[in-house]
Amino acid sequence: MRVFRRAVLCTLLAQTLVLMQLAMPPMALAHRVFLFASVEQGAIVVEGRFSRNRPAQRAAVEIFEAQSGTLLVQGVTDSQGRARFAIPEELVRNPVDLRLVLDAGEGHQARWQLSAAELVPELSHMEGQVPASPLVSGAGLDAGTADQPATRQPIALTAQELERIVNQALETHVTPIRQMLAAERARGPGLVEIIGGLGWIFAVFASLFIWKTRRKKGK
Amino acid sequence: MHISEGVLAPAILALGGVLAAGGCAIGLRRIEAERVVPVALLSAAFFTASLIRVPIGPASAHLLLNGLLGAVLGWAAFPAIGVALVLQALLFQFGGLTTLGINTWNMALPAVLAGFLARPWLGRGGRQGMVAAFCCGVSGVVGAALLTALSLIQTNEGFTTAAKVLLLAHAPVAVVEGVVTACAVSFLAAVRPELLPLVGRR
Repeated sequence: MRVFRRAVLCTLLAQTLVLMQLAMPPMALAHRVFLFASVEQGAIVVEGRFSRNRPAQRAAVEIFEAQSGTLLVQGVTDSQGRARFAIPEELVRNPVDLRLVLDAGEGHQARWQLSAAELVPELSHMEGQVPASPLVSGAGLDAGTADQPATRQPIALTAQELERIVNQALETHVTPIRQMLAAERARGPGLVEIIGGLGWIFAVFASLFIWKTRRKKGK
Repeated sequence: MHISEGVLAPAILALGGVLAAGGCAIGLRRIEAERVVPVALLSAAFFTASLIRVPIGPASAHLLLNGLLGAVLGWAAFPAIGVALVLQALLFQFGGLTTLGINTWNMALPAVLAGFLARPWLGRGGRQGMVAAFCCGVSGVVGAALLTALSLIQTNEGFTTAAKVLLLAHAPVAVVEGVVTACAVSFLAAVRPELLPLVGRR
């Protein structure tokens, strides 16, 4: 009877814990929040994650001018921990270094620097500049291809357009690698850090022990 | 409950630093040479406890163990928690170096207070000792959540919101922590009663 009563109590306790855990906000238990930002297709893409790759949902994101500290844009991450901001007008005219701050609440904050150089390729694309000089002209390419199908039509590209195409293609390939690196960083500490930390703790307290013993002997 | 860099005002960081340094100084003075090993062991337990996630249903939680440190170590919980937090900040990037003082204060003060209040019953063992240890574990977590919320009083979040979120999030952890502390202390009371309370009897 006693065992049965204990089992019921344990089950009730476990159930309560499960219900409490379901009701709790996920962010408050985290140790550290990470912020990753990149420029993709004319927008600043921000991603917030807690350690172990859990998305930082509904976290406040603010984008400041790095030097002056002026607030340019602010928003909130979605359920995937992501937020997308169109590049502000003033940045299109005059690109500057940016400081991004993600505030996940309960004292969890992360920062990211986005340099003006990262914004420039996107901005040149957004400005829609008039072609300066044709870089690739169909004139010299179609020699001996007159009998080819229509798909091989000559294409005229400006330097800016070519740069944009290359940037887009690069972005497609680089984004998964960037995400992989971000996921790797957000995974949390590894065995080396844990064992190293334990070693440091014992070293610190061993020093304390030696100091205390010497003082005792001195007395 | 590790407060990151850049969240708190310099005045709060400085106050936390001074208070934590005072607590650590008292703790270090009260550790006797022969008691250093248990302090190191419990510091190591605190250091790793935050990494061990306990699955509770579909989600998971991790232990703080500050209540256990307060129950067993008394004032020595300050240096034990301080050293563990320094290494967590340096190796895991949990919290930050400027917030070390306030984080140490927030974790260690409720632990020491809970241990001090529960001391008359802790050494007795049996049901009374277990209940006292359970309360120690629970109040360590609840106190740490309240102090962390109090530290955030000047931020946009304010005390009330932060306290609500932190208490709600840590309620299951507090219960688990209470059970772990009760088991650990009753085990110590049965096997090595002289360890309870370890230091800070003066």
